Amino acid sequence: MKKILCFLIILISCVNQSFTIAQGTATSNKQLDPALRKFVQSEIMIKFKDLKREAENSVSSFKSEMNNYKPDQIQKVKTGYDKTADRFNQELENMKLDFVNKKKLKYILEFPKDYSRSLELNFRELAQYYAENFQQPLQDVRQSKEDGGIVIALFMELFKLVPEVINHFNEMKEMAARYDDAYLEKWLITPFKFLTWTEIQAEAGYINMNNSNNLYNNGLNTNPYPYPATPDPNTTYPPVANQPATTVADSIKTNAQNWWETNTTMPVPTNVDGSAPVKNTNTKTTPSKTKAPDPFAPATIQKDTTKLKPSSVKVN
Amino acid sequence: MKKGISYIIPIFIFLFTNPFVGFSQKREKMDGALRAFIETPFMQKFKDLQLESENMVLTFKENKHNYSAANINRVKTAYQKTVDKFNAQLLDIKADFMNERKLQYIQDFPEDYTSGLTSDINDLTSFYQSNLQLTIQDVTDATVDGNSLLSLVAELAKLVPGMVTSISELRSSVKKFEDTYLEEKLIGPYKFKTWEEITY
Repeated sequence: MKKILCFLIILISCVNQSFTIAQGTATSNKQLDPALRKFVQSEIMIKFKDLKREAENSVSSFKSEMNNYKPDQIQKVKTGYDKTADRFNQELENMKLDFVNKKKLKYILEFPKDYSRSLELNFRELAQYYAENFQQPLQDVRQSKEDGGIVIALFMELFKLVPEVINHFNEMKEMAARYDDAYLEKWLITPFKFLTWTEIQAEAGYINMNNSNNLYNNGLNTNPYPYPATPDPNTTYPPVANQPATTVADSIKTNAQNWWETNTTMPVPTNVDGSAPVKNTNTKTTPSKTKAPDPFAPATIQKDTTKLKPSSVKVN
Repeated sequence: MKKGISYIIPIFIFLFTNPFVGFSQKREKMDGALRAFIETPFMQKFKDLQLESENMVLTFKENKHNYSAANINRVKTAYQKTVDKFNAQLLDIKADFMNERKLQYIQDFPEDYTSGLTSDINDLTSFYQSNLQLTIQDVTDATVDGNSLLSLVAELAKLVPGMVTSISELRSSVKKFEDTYLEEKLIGPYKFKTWEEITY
């Protein structure tokens, strides 16, 4: 009798465990539910995606003309972009955490104004951060007079759309209990996450073919000295201790993987190619690791099992 | 047994006939909690702002013989619109103090409340700049520039986190405040006066 009982207990626990694992996998693999679809296809998320595209395109274009700039200038823009992208991704991550925090979700619906005002401030701070840390260094390095009007307009529209988020939270409140981290990672984070500098490829159309450095960078030129033979005496270089060897063989090695993607120590100018990693000339900004699911794809016809009440929360 | 009852009965009678005992205890708790809030740099700055704005109106009123009736009216309207916004903000804070759930929310998610309030203060700054400051500069040919008020409002936004911490702390002693109490202790002393109320 005891043996049977023990066997039964073990069997039940095994079944229960496998069910939990299966459920977890199923949750992350399941289709985008209608409420979340509505949110990721909302105006505010479209604007967020537009901002992401604008920033990534700027990096892409810059990468294709990088051979015109000094390493420290490139580093300045790279650091600025990566810092900015981190901020945006953090905001996205915070939104994800709000979705899975039941207590928070309850408060958001109870005090929608507070949440939307807080979100608005976060977006305003993001706008300022973007302008100061990415846009400004980019303009300085390029010596360009572009005012970033498109990005400013996108931010302005984003601020106006913030209250709309609350209605989506209200629609999602019943389904939110079923959202898990993997599911939100797949549908909310991956499609909207800003790519890192290294994940963004150069814009092929912008390559300046008049510059001999490009020929070198594309493997068509054997000149390992892209910088002028007589460097500018006013240029300052990093200490010798940080400099790699200056043999031709080493310089080729360095070029196999661009320094700005691997370390923060600036090499000597003679070893810096300053070019973008042109791998696929047809793509603009392709993530190198994972392919994001497309939340903008038309919804597959499926039975809507959710019984969502019409949005009742209004932002006061 | 009889002795025990004879002790308890007078105590009950005393409590029922003296409701002020409980009331005064509650009042003491509210006093302590609100005092801590009122002493925050945010509320002190708010008071400075109130005094400075009244001072600006007084200075303008002293020299009103230099301005046309239309211009005086412009400044008056801009002032009234601006202080209405500030008073509305004060009333919002009062409403939060009276809402037990809201106080709980502030305690649980202080960062959200801080961001929301900072956003509101930033809006007040913009409103002040584009209404009262612009009008008074225009009417007085920048004799009164209104910059001291502007810097005070801008500083106010930076002090929000400390003020929110104070609200989180006061909730541990008081679950919620009463309307009349807050009207007397918070709104009365901190409310911006109307144009007509500002006199020597």
